[in-house]
Amino acid sequence: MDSLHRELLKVENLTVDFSTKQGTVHAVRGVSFQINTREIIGIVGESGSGKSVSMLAVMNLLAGNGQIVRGSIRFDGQELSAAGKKTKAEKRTHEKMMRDIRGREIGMVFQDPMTYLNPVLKIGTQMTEGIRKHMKCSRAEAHQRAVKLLEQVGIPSPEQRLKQYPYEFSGGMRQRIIIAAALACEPKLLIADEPTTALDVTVQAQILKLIEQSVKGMGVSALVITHDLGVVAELCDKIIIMYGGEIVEQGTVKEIFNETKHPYTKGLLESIEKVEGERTPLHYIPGTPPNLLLMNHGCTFCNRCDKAMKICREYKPAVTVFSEEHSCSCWLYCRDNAQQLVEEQEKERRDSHG
Amino acid sequence: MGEPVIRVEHLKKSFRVKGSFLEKKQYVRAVNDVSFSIEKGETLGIVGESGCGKSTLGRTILKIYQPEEGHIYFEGTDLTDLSEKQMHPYRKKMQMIFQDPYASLNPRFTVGEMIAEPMEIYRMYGRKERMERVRELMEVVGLKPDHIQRYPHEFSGGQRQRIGIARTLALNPEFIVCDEPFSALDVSIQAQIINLLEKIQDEQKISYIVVAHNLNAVRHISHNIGVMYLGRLVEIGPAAKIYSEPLHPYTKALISSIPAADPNSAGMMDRVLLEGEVPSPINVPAGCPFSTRCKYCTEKCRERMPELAEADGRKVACVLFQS
Ligand SMILES: Nc1ncnc2c1ncn2[C@@H]1O[C@H](COP(=O)(O)OP(=O)(O)OP(=O)(O)O)[C@@H](O)[C@H]1O
Ligand SMILES: Nc1ncnc2c1ncn2[C@@H]1O[C@H](COP(=O)(O)OP(=O)(O)OP(=O)(O)O)[C@@H](O)[C@H]1O
Ligand code: SF4
Ligand SMILES: [Mg+2]
Ligand SMILES: [Mg+2]
Repeated sequence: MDSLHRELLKVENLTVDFSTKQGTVHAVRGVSFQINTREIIGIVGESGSGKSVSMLAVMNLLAGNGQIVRGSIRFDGQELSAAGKKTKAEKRTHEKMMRDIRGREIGMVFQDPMTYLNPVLKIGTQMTEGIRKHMKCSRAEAHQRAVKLLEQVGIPSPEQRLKQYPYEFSGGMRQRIIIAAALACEPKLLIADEPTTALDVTVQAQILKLIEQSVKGMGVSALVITHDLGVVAELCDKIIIMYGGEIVEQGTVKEIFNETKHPYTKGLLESIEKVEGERTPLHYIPGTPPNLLLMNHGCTFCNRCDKAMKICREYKPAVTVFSEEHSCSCWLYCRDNAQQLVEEQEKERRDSHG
Repeated sequence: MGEPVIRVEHLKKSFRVKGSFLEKKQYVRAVNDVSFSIEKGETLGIVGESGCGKSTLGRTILKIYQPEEGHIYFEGTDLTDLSEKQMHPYRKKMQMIFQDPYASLNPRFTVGEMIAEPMEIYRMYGRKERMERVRELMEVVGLKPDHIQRYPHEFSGGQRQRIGIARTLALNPEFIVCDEPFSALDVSIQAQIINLLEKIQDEQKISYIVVAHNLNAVRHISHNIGVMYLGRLVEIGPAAKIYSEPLHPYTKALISSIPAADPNSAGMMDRVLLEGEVPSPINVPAGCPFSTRCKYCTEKCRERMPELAEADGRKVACVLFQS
């Protein structure tokens, strides 16, 4: 690793549960990844696979019924994971630390802009308050900054627009406002959950360029969750693929697209509509997502996988490493170690039962 | 051919922008002088910059918003000035599929109750027949009829979108506005929903307006494409024509910015971004709305809005193509 790229965020074995009436939802199951400075990572995966929950866990913003059961989150030398923080006082100091980090050191763009914009406050009020909270400046300076940011994300007549309420904007405009606000305080890390889904391709290109320039210019790193594989191919250095609460494959963009390993990733890439598309039925991955209430023994993808073998249903595949960045969890690539893996898992099961 | 299912003429809708007392009244011209028609069993895809008025257009056609000027015809009947009561029978035939499958379903109702609800409102069928119809609809959209007693949270995003579609189909609509029906879903589920909408259309001859930013998906599902810019329709015609040879300078920019899901192709940094001042829908430029960003712009463009005119098998509103 050269001096330009040092470790910024390292997540290890992150595990998140939600308690619900139906039982415990195991939404995130031992997720590990790392992002370095000046790097852009894309997170792609099935709806409901735990992408948003993983990022909310990093920010300590999980819903009340959710908690980090295990795992560590190291950000710029500090431990952010609330796992093991049991007493009220511990939790309070932890939340206080997180409040300083959120917004200033880590900028966030949430999946649903409406939930995070206050519907009864003007956009201008919301933006200038945010800017003043994290950067010491006067109201007039904050206002100037807000105007400039709206221009940067391509919203015309910013002076008038700042006087309007959220409902008076189109879906895409609200999303751009959130992006402007997230970049306002020049954070070290930008976490963006579906930042461009509500945007047309020309504005999308503009926003991606803005994110890319922030990374190159201000030295920001970015984690971008998206369903749009075109965005990932163009913007990101690396890709993480999630399925059923786990990372099933990760690697550089070229590795994921050109040397695809995991059967889920293959299915996903085959489902992309091509521009030439005629009215022939599109490819999709048949079957239903896994039930997150259950902790199955085998591979999470096995009931939908066209390559599934007997061992896939009974034991978890190990992570196979193909290059410095590229790795994948699938039995197709770790059969040689099968005996050892099976013995380890048998032992674990006996231990947890006895 | 008979009457088109939907015909709109010179449709207009603006919103008032609140300013302080001293400023003069200002308006956002969300939909400005839009005309087109849709035949039975056909899809019109609507694409364009975010904020250009696509959702407002869809909502105005369904009379969720009252149009300010212009007319909406449904199978030849003028709906523009009908009262809410007179609209009732037409509401059943004209439906909408919303973008967010999470927000539009009531978590306290089972799937069966939710799909039956619109039929109850319109007093369609007896109770027993209604339940049969619910099961039938669940099959049409690819849900297991055994899951009739389940609640929405027990389904994935794509399945919830199917529940929404089943609800919409329950009333046997003839026309559906789909406002970003797939943008919140992963590509595999998007593909399933596109297949489903196409299958239903082929079987039941429904007409659609599909609004979406995913241009590849719109291309797949649409027979015709309408391109909007700042409240105006700037190009409209057969999908194949518009994608293979876009004529309007804005359509050209739009089609060329489709990101390729392929890291080996030229990247974003090499792509021509739209330059120039982004015009505001509050202060619409005189003349062509695209003139502030168009590299072909001449004096003539700034004077007068060019009319939609026939050119190479479609209609374009640009001085370059006026005879
Ligand atoms: N507060 C909660 N209580 C119970 N379950 C939850 C809660 N929040 C999330 N979940 C569940 O956790 C799982 C992961 O959700 P998450 O929002 O991370 O999915 P996602 O990968 O972001 O999907 P999408 O692409 O649709 O946004 C889902 O099955 C979801 O239903
Ligand atoms: N209820 C409203 N009150 C005031 N202004 C509105 C309202 N709804 C929409 N607008 C304005 O009308 C214009 C068009 O908005 P609309 O939602 O139709 O755009 P859109 O093309 O659907 O955009 P997107 O792709 O971002 O969804 C925007 O400038 C928006 O701010
Ligand atoms: S481990 Fe088995 S079931 Fe899982 S993805 Fe690999 S081949 Fe398919
Ligand atoms: Mg999410
Ligand atoms: Mg819209």
